[in-house]
Amino acid sequence: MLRRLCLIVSLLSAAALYSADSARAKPVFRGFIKVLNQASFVKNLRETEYSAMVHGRINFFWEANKHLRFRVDSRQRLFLGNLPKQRGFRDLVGVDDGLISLSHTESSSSGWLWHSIIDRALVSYRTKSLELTLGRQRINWGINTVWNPNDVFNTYNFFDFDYEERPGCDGFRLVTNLPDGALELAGSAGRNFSNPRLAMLWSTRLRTYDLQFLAGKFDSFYLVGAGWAGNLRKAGFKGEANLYRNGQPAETADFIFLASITADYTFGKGWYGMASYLYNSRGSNNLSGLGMITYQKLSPMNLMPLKQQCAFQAAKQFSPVLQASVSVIYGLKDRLSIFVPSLQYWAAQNWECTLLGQNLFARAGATYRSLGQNVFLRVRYSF
Amino acid sequence: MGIFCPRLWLPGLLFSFANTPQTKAQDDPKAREIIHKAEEKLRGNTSEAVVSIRIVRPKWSREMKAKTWSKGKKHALILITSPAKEQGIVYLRREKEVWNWVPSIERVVKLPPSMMSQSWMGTDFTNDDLVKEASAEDDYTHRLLGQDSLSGMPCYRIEMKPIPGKAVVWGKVMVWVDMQWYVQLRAEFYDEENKLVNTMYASSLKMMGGRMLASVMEMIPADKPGNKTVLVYESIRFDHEIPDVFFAPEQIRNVR
Repeated sequence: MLRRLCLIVSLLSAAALYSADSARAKPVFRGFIKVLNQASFVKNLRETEYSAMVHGRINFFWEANKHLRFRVDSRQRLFLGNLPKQRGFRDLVGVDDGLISLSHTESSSSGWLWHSIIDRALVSYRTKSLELTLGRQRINWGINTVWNPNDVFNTYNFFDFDYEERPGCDGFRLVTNLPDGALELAGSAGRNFSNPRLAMLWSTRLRTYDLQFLAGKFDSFYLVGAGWAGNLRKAGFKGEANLYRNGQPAETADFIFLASITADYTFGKGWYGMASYLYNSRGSNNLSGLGMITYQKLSPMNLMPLKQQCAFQAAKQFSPVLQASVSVIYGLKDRLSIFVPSLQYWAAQNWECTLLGQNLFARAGATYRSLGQNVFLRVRYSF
Repeated sequence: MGIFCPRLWLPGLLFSFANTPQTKAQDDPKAREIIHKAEEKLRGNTSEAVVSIRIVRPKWSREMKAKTWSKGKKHALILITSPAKEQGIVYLRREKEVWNWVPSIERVVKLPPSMMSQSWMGTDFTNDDLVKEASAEDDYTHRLLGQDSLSGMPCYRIEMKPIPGKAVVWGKVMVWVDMQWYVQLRAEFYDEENKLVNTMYASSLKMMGGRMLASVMEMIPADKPGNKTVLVYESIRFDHEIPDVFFAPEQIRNVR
């Protein structure tokens, strides 16, 4: 991984030096350090397990001239406590599905695990009407609030709240400006050019609605999709849908359909409410492993384990530096209920504290049982 | 917040007073002309400014820096350049719609109308201030009440009252305009019960972008002691070319 990193940095540096415009050649480094403490138990409070993570990020950005930009972001995590001792955890967090692996893990029997990954490494070339981006990047086509079926290149795990930046993919993105929208062509591939994805997106506007339509090929599946962001009176009204058709005879279903819809409203005095629904035809209703969903990488063809689920959120901004929210995800099968209460406090200009819970419950026979209870306390310093 | 504040604070984010001149009943042409000249000071075909914004509360304060661009009355854009956590956040206005670029998740978010009444970035401004199209020309009548002196500078004192039926949040606005440079030095915003809601103070006049402008502005809510938002213009320039595509939602992730 180190050799690959050196290679990337060398190539970017050489390209940047070659093209540098002295007026703009001011590389920018930014990032943060976070300390995340986690307490977890399933049923018995006495069996609470404690873990901690030190999470650092360094983002490098260089606008060499008005056409050329470079970006390399690295993510470093040090896990301590019980979590890294769990079987399979190292493989779970260390996975890198990109064309080349830029992920590296180190661990010890004493119970720590270090994970390092380059999740952005790209070069972007722009003209007045075209923009081409090559490398590891986030191609974000999501337009909805919670679940994003249209986001076919970089699926977001709603529960992985500590990874706001979301993973990147190895590929290209070509954007052409239109008079009132844009046309995009993007592609990505996994290791040895496996899992190829190629899709086109057309975005436009109709009155107060942003609309987008996409079509492409996702592994062996053909896909079409659409999304919108607009208003119903004063409420936000957004949605996305994707339909996949298997291009090869297989045991899996020929068609896969995902659709999500969201309405949100901001009330007076800092109150905010949101309701969302996701239909996932591939949902298996198998709840096993849900306790570790925070660290899992999800597929755009299977955004949640259930067929039908709703999400609700109520939030209150008490002041510019203090806000609280409660999110609830409710699965219509087995009454899966996930509560996510959170409290955020900006202690100083670049300091932020977050207290967050993830409380999972589901029906088992006639009883309602706990699937896992997590409490997180996070302190973040941005620079 | 109402029609005046953002126009004064972030030229170009706002709508100008000075639309097509129209004669309104009970309107004082001289008062209208003074407001027109004051607005012309802040208007240009385009504008680009660097500003710092300090939010002051009784127990804490925080500071942001931002760049702003505008073109005509319909296009405006704000890029937050500090602090580190908010760096790169962009607000784009096209006509009455607002989009928000969130760099941490690399996502463009369209803001719903109900969010317009919320505080913008924790300041004493609302999101609505970024898009308000209320026009002092069309929506208010003007009356020249006399002359005052503010910080030793002779000023016109003008009363503005909304025309019945217009969508205006204020019951009355009092404006003080400097007689020499036509800079708005003070504005008081009253509700429909004639109760003072906010006061805007402008100071530190200097030549910026070839125009004499107030470089410091303070917005002070009347019912929140110890609260205020202070905006300082560090630089501003007018009438340079900005292509329309700069204000496209698809392009706001490229703003630097």
